[in-house]
Amino acid sequence: MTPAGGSGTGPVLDVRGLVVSYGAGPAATRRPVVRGVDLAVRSGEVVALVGESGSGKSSTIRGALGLVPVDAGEAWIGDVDLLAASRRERQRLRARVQLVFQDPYSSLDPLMSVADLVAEPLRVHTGLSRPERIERVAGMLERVGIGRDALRRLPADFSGGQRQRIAIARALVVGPQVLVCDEPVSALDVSTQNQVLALIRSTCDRDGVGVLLVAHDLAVVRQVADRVAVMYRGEIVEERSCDELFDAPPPPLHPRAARRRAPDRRSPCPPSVRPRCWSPGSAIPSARAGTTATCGCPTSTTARSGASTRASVELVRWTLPVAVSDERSRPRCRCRCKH
Amino acid sequence: MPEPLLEVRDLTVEVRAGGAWRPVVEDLSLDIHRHEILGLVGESGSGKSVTALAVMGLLPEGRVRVARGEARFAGRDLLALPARRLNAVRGAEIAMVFQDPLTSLNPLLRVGSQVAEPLRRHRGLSRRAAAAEATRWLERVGLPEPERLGRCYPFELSGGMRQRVAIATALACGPQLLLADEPTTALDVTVQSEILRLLGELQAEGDLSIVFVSHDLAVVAELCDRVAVMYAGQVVEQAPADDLFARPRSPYAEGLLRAMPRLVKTPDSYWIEGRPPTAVDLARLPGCRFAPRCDHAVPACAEAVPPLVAPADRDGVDRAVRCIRADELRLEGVDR
Repeated sequence: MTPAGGSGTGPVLDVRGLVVSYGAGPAATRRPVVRGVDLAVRSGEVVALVGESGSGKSSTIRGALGLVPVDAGEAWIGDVDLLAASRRERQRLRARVQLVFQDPYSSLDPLMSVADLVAEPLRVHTGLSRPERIERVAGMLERVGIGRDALRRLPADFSGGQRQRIAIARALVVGPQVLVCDEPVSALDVSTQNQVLALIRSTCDRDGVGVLLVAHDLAVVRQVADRVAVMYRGEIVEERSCDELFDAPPPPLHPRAARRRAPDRRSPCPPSVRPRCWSPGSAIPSARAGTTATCGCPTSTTARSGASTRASVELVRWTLPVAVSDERSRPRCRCRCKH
Repeated sequence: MPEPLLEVRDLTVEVRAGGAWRPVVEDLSLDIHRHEILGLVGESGSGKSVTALAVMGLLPEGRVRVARGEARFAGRDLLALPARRLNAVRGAEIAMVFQDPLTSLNPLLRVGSQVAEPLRRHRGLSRRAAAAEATRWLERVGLPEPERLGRCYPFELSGGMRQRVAIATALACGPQLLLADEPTTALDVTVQSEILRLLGELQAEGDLSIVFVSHDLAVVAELCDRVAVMYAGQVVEQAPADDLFARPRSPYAEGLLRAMPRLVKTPDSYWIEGRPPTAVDLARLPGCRFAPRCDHAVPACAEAVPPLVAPADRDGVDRAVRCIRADELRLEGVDR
């Protein structure tokens, strides 16, 4: 199934200057959690949005899809701005952007059969008759590797990985142009994560769907993403191709950060303090349209010198280092041997 | 070999399903030595948490029961201990940390008083002394401003901070054994790394052993000395962590290792097809329980449950495997 009206090489989802803040009262007194995010997803591309908890990843996608009120910004889906669209138009646009949530145990209604669950977007967005809907659903379930005999069963009969594939089938059944996945594998067993990731990748390659993948685990991102946007404190501090991000030389370590980095339990390092390049309270320059925001760290460098920002390097470093031959991403204690 | 701290023997736990009692953990034997971190790994539903809960006497009554077996801890069988004596052990000598600190902490109590509670109960400290000790523990687990945060309620703290509070509560009375049930699964990678380091430090400086339950082998590789891999209620492989990662001997352990996401791009991604059998399925599986999902299965695998034995060429390493083909298969490990 190809998406209706593919828009060539232009982005299928183009978020510009998105600002989201939470709290009551006028905009000035609220807490901004997304501070001017620009992000584009093209057809057939997997873009990963990474960052720590609280960096604003989920708020960005919720804001872009109009699920939370936004203070400013645009979210273009093809040639329509979702955030400026009327209610009725938004409803129509939702068929073109579909969401997959983190926890397949709570995102599927336990009392609905798989057939009804997956057919629901078709019922809302298309005028197909019930037999036609069921036919489409059966085809889609086969594509995600679930099989026709699942139609009459309940979500409880399936494992976490299978449920997540059902959730993906539900998202894809209306032929969206954009698939937004919010931590799609972090609730799954390690043994099945790759299966769901491979499905997301093949969806993108076969149907030309643009995928926005929110994740905190870089090992997951590494396997599927084409491009990575790193968020920190509500801004995108770095955006580059996946290969570049992982292979870029890191900026020189701030000596204090190097001393603190000691996840090795046998090390004699002082009690844990998460290394931060951002000195507490330092202002982070806000992003303006067309500029690249960087963190306020003195050692942070820009893409000009080929190095990554500290935010992304830290994420890479802190991802657990099993089976990585690359010394850079092995956060072994330096103090243990040298200092 | 010194006597183990906790000795689990032939533990069988059954659930009520389909009108009959069916085993979910079967004849499980495990030793936890002093000053050791043992990783207990496997997919969801393999019986890891049930094992930990059974040892603690925390299984939900009515639907789940310990059918047989014993868990000897400091000369006593925990499973046969009356409730009052077990209460004196739990929290004082054995403690537990759960996956989700938001549900394991009491939402109506300030975190400082939650840490102080076991101190008052087990060590009989006065309110004031317990509060001071609690603050000291909050500081020890790395909470900034322990005095102020001790007066907060759990919802005011982040996930990582809450898990630190849960760890402080568990360790406040100086237990010898900590059962940690997926303590980092709900946290993001940077916080996870900090919590692992904290557990490692606390273990290294005190007289503490840890049983670390997880489905994530990357976490286990970081922290554990020894690993027991569970599948469908049985231990299928047991080995020192380095040896398991370098050369797994059971196809299931190899599958878990291969499925682990890596930071280096792997050309073909791997996963274990299918799902672990349920308690009801097990009645129809007379042989190796992993055989239906195993790439290396032969007809003989389906005939009888293979015993857990030491492989022939173990080079003096203390390891055991439950696979009839363990000696002939050449399974791939990963670099650590």
